[in-house]
Amino acid sequence: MADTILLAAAVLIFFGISFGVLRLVLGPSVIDRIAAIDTLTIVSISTIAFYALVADRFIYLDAALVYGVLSFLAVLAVARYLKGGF
Amino acid sequence: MAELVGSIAILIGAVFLFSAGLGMLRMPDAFTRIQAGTKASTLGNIMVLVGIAFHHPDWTLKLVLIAYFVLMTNPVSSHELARAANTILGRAAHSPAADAQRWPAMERDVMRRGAAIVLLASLGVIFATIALNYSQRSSLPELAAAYLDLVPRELGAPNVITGILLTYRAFDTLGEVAVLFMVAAGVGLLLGAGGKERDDVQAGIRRSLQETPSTEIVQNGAKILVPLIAIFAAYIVMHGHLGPGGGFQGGAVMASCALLLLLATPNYRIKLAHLNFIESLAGLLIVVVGIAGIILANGFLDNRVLPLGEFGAFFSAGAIPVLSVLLGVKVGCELSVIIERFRA
Amino acid sequence: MLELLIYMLCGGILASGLLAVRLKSLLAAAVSTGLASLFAAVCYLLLGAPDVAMTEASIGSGLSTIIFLYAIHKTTNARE
Repeated sequence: MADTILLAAAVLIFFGISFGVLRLVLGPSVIDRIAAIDTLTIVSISTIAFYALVADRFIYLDAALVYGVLSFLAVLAVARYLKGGF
Repeated sequence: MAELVGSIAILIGAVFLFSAGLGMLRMPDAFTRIQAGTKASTLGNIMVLVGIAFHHPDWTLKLVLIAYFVLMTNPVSSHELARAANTILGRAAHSPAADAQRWPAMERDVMRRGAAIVLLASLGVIFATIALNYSQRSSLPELAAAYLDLVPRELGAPNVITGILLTYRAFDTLGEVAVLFMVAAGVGLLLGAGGKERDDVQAGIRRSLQETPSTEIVQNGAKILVPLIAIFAAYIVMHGHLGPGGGFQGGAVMASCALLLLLATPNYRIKLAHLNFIESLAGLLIVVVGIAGIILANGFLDNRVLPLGEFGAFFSAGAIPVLSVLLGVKVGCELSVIIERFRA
Repeated sequence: MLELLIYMLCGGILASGLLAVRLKSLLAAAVSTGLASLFAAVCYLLLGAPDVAMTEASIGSGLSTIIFLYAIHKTTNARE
């Protein structure tokens, strides 16, 4: 029972990632592409934590922690670059 | 019972993450896409982490840390992105912006396209051959098995990779650090403006920032986040011998902390003379520890100069934590110097 | 199941690499490079190498994109 629930959750997360990549390919302006990458980073933090649960290893959570801390720097720098003052 | 509740929480979180992706695809406007993407995905992420905490209650502290960092950093970046979208797209968000394109345009030159397709097809054939001939081993090769046996026994470090990097192959690590030093020196040679020229560039940056200062949310967010990121970098460096981590990762996170400081307060000037001195001192101390390894233990950069201690404790595995700290300091200083040279 | 996920992530790396080559706007191309690094880090974790995943995360997620941005900023302004 718990396994099928986890499988359904994995399928949903995979579709979320693919929609984000689709927006990255299609997006008419550069803002859409940056927003897609921001969303994909948060979803990949969830994916790493989910895999740490499936593989039953505590140390895999460190990689998710690094992404949680550092991923916003790229979006921040791009937003500042677009506003002009770097 | 707790596992079922946890799995249902993970499913709810996955539904929110799916709706974040769907919202990114279906929303009509850049602003609504930003909102759908960032807000729904943060909530889905927190729900997934709560569900995992139900499965393993002893993982709770680290999961709370991840959720806290996501909650602290995501609003700052999405706020700045929305402001940038307002500046670029203005009110007419439906009309294409200056660099808008639906799909990248194809070149007209047929021969270049043909040559590119042939090259990619041949590379694809080579990779397919390698991938199809791959069969998974049933047992480890000899060298890997020897390392897995030797490192916990002789060096006292649970993390085999850090044990190999900082003891058995420590000379290669010193070579990599020397390469990074050469990169920093090369960047300094190409882009470095010393003295008065650098003052002029900094004055130019300050003038151009009078019109667009950094916003309040970035400044306040940086005040909270910079100490936390620095502590996190120290944690990664010090736990290199117990879990994944070590010198390089901690140094890169430290340089990201310096980068956040630069983004939040653009008038800030990193004192390059101090950083160069600290970096050179760290490199010198690494060589001193190595030579102490020759005198007191089995060879250059051997870690048994300090007592091995108890397996898995914080102060254990000889000189590996000391080498991790020196490596982290050196790499962090070098990357910060590179970023500062690029900026000015 | 796991191999399927790894194949899809590798397809994602290919897609973002193709996008980084074909996009006209340099800024979006630099950001696509960061996305390829993100997918590669998740692949490394799925293949059982958390150390390499952490290194790729810490360098590719912030620093590499920012250095590209600085380079684009310097070369674009110098031309005007």
